[in-house]
Amino acid sequence: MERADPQGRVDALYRQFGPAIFRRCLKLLRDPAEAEDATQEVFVRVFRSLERFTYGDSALPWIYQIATRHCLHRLRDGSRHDASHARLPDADPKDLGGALADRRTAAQLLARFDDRTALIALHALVDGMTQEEVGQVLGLSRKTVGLKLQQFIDRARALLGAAEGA
Amino acid sequence: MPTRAPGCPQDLDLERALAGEPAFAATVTHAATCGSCAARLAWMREAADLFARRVLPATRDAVAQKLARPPWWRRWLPVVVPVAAAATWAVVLLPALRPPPDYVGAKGAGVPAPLQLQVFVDRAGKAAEVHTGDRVHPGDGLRFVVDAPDREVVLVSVDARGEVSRLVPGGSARVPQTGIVPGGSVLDGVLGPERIFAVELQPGMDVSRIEAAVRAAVAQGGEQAVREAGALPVAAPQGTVLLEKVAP
Repeated sequence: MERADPQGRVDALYRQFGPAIFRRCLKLLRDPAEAEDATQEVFVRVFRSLERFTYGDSALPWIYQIATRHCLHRLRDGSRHDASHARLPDADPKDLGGALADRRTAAQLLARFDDRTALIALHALVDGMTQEEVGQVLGLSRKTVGLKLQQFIDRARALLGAAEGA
Repeated sequence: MPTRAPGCPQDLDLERALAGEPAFAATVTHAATCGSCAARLAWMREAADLFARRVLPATRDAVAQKLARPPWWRRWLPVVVPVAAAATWAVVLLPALRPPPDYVGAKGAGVPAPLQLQVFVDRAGKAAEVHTGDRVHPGDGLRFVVDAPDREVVLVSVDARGEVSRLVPGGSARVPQTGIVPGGSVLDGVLGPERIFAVELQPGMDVSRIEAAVRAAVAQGGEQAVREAGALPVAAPQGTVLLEKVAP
């Protein structure tokens, strides 16, 4: 059914879901201007699908997932296309949570891993989720999450350690 | 921004609590007595304030413009139209491939006519066709192209839990000349096989009958039933694509 005021509907949904999308983007991108751009893009994607998607009790888990993947791709793509970011910034290899809290370091590190491993690292090290929780969100076993997370930690520490020593 | 302390709710739980979802009333209660969560909620409210003061006014028009622009799937019309035209030519030429008049063959017991169904996934703003067995992810946007111009086609899917979903509003759509089915869907978080069916509606047939046929096809349950489900027992042209939904 056509709505009488489509712009009003867009506004209402943007006001409803915009803050949650913006918070998610700001937390992962660590840059208000970039989070602003990402929020628009995620919302457009969400809006185009909202009425055709069955999401159960709440749209938020689905919106969160879309925002998380979007920000991950944005971080990784930005890193790949920006030659000035070719070298890993200095960061403490023992504090990976802190390293991922820095936008440039996070982009450089995450660009070196596949999507699944990068998502596991974001959820575990940035969101502070337990391995069980990460497994539930991504549909993986705790064992797989643990293995992938350890691989990320080992390789990220080696990369940051090498950068520190360079 | 404050970090989550051990034993405290996840960010998403706090979002759902802020949204007033009744299931997260306990999260609100916890946050009222937890210094760590109070700080996180304060940061979330500050960010919401920033959104209302700066982001919303600065991006409202851009969002409206983006929504007014054709989505990605319309931008590859120039690609799809020649494909549809080629398909139409194939239909025109098919009579030439009919067997000779003296041919005697065994007629199948109700094997339905095939219907060409193409599924495209939106990856980083680009449309990529996916085929049976291909992997997709939760959150992927899907679009459908069916070679049934000007005909009403039912588009439904069944997931690993045996749940049947309508992929277009109302379950069916009239296919335009281009073959691109209006609307689309976004994959949910249920992992495992996801089988998509396109069935051309026949007189006296409705969407619920097709949905019942899909449920019957996977009635034995489990992921294997979804993977092995073949033609539906309905006398109508149909096509199916099986995707494997895996975590990103």
